[in-house]
Amino acid sequence: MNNNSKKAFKIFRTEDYWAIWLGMVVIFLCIGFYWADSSLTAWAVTPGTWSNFGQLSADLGKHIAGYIVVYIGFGLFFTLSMKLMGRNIREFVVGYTVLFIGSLAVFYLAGWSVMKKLDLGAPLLALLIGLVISNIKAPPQWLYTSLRTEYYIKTGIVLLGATLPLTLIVEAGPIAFIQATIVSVTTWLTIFLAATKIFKLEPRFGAVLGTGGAVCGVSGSIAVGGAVRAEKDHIAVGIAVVSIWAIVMIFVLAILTKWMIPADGKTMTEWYHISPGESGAWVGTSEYADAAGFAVVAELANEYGDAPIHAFTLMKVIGRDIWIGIWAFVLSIVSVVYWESKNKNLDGPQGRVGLSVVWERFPKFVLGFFAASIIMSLIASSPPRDYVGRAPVAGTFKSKAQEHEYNADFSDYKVPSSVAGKFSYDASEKQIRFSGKMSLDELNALFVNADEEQKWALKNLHFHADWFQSELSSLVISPIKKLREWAFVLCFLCIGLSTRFRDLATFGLKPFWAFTIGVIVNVPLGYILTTRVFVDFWRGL
Amino acid sequence: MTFFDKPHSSYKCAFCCFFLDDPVDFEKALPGLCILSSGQGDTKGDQGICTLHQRLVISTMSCKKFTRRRLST
Repeated sequence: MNNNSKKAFKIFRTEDYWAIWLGMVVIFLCIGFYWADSSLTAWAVTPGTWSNFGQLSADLGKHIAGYIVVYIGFGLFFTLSMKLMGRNIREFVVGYTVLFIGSLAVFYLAGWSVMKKLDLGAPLLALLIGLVISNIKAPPQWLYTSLRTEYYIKTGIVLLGATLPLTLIVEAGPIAFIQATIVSVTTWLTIFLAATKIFKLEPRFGAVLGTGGAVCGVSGSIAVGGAVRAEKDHIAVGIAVVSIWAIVMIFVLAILTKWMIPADGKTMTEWYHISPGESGAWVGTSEYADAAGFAVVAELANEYGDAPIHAFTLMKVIGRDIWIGIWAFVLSIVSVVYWESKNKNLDGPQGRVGLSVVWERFPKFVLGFFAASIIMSLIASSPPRDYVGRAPVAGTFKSKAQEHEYNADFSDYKVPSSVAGKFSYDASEKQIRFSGKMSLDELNALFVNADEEQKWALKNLHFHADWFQSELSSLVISPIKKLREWAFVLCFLCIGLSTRFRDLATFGLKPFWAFTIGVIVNVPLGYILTTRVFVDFWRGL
Repeated sequence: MTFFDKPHSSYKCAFCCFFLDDPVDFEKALPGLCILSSGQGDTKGDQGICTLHQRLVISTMSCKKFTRRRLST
């Protein structure tokens, strides 16, 4: 096989590219259904809340077809990709089925009113249940074929791109980059110096540990490991230390941030209060792996919306992950020029690491994340010119804060002159209509001649006149979010099921303490930068 | 060989029998890797484990103990 065909084939051989293809298929399907005057909303479903078995079985009956569609849709794609990546398909299909049913059970458990009272969402429950199962009894070997934490989280991140406006990425990118760079460099130096100066570990071992803590966890350790020609055993220790700390930090950061965010997410009355956006940014600077960080912010998102997820993604994916190639390149030079020159007896493969390593180690799924954001932002920025919002004169007004049933009569309603050309009432259809997006001034103008019931109908019309909110968000973005939740819960269950602490705790205390010193510096530094230095930005997110 | 020497393409680790880069074998050689990462991602890329020197290396590197991998038929 020549080099070009190898490169062409690579786009079907790595999880990064497959996450992009799957993400794009989902996004274009959602857009396609919308253009065909339909929506995937009825199929892309997650369980609702319940407090007794009657409600549970009713919800299951209502959504069962959707679960089957999600299972088959994701399953076909994952199976095809796993086949092309050279994995055992029989094991994968069986394992994926077990994992999907497990995820469904976790979703239902999280929807139980008791879990709501305990403030436990699907992400933490998936992780906890997985950890308990795998640490009581090791999962069968065939199940490991389907435990693809990275693949599922990358798919989720590409889908996440469709819900994150490009303007936000452009606006927040530089701030996230500055904050992440300060934290990354400080944490790397702390771990490296602790490892080499205090604990007298080999510099390349220190570099592997430092990159695991400072850049992107286990993937960072691997990416840098080859560039500096680290020992295999050192890589294994790096993986174990980073994994243990990442999982510990999921619980520490989830408990801390849940306590620190005020109940309504906004009213900061105590000195320790932080906003949902700040919490996401803090987790982004102080977690060591994407999957682990998403477990925390997805848990927070259950209560406070997408702000923690957006802030985390900006900080971790854009601020830290995409620079891994540069770390690998710089450290490969440092390794050859400084560390290896002191060790003349060093045996083994050598050779230069070119600048191309920056691209080669670049996590390509991030391109899918950007592409998804660009596609959805372009669509959102060009609403149909002749769009007319419609609301029934009798119906239900629903918003995050309130739900109200109304029954209005517009037969004698006097339309204010300022909106005369835009507002209309269709008595035969029992509808009120508004051409184009309705501003708040226009809504207030319509309120002047309205009674209480008419005001509710006009509020409903205000929502429906906003094409992005009423059409794009609810018919296109909403199913993408549901499928993203599935990808995330599959991932969190995988983390739990594949983590056996007994198997991981095989390293000496020196690397553990070197990394721990990094944690002691990293967590407060992330907190100070997020809640003091860049507070205005993250709080306003 | 120094940092600035480019190894002859046919003596690269990529063609050495001691070079373990298959994602499935790579994941088996590094237990725990799949908890939060993967052997199938771009951050692993063309790296593999030199089973002779027990180091993580890049496929474009080379060494004196290079032994050509037999092509499977």
